[in-house]
Amino acid sequence: MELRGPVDFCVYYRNPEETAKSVKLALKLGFRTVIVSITLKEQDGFKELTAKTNELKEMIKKHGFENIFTRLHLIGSDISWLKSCLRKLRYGFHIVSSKPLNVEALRFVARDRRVDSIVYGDRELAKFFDKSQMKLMRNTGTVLELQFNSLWSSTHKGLIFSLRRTLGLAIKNNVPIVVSSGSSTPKNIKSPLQLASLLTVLGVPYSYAKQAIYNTPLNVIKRNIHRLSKKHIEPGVDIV
Amino acid sequence: MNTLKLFIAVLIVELMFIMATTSLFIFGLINLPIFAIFSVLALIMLILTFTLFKLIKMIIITNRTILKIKSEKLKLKEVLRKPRKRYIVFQIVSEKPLKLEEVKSLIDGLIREAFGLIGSGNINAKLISYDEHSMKGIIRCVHTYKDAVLFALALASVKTGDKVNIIPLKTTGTLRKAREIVKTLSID
Repeated sequence: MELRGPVDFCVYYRNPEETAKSVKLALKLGFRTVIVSITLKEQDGFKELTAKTNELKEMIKKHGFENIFTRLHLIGSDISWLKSCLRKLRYGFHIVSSKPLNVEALRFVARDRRVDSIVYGDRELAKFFDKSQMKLMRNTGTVLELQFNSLWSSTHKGLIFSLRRTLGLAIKNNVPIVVSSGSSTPKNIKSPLQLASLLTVLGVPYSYAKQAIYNTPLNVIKRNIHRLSKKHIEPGVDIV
Repeated sequence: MNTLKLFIAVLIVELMFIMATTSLFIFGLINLPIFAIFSVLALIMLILTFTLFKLIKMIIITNRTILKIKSEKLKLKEVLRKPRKRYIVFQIVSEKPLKLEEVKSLIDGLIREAFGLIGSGNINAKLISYDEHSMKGIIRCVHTYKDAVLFALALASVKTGDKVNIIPLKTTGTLRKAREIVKTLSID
């Protein structure tokens, strides 16, 4: 199984049928790798999550999809809850992402190596994607993720301005950027070029935009596959 | 900047020369006529270096303005050049079939909303053809604004509340090829 781009870094899981349709459509539109994401909020229980995960894995088996990976998307503000989630669930998923709801959680998530991507979020938190945040993310290898569909859910005037500023800071501080569709139904799935166009319209060079859907997500997946393998002990220490 | 440095260096040398001749004259090592000749020579040199410095500066400024005018002319040429076209083949995913007028107004509205009056004017997007049965169509735009059109099409699902999704299938440079793609390519 060879990993190839472009990658849709986030297709939200709703139910097996709809997710299967979305994944099929994404593959038809040109994506070679798709990551299906299961969301976990603070009020949700772990039992529901395990049921959903099993359903998703069954669906992948049933349809015989290749290059489909699972991802856990944590939405919360409580640091202790985030810690317990990461402790219990890190090894159950290929990728772990987070959308923190306050500054403390945002900083914690950026400092934690177990989190692979931070989703660019709400209006209130936009200004905290600053230089110090970018430095923390660079040190831990965390990726800055832009989800196309959720970006426009709350239209605010300063969105484009703050997005441009954040992207500029990310490029300046060598923080990798990923653009995903963040779709949950076939009706809001996007093609790879549409995802890249988001960055090019915001003034990011095309080479960076291309990397955001090709190399960067593939690198994250490869890193996590290696981390989850038995050969890996800790960063820098492997069984040869 | 380099010419200024050179000018300052030459000026220092000349001032040192004047100071040396004056000190020699004060100590009585040279007499008045020789001192007068030396000081006149120094003065002439001083005036010459100053005029030379001014001349060089003027030449540099004129060269820069010429280069600027040339680059602006090139830019103007690019603007006046007939723009190349791109044909984007798309397919609409929606619950009910959309009519030509609806699609036209939807695409125009999306581009206008995303890029404004000037942006949409620059993009110059036009719905060339649309088949109501297969819900596939062709949009023509200026080649430099292809990404802008793709971005605007991506906003369709957001603006319509996930009721309509416009999926670009392929981008081509000729209408004939675009028409061929409409017949062959499909996401169904």
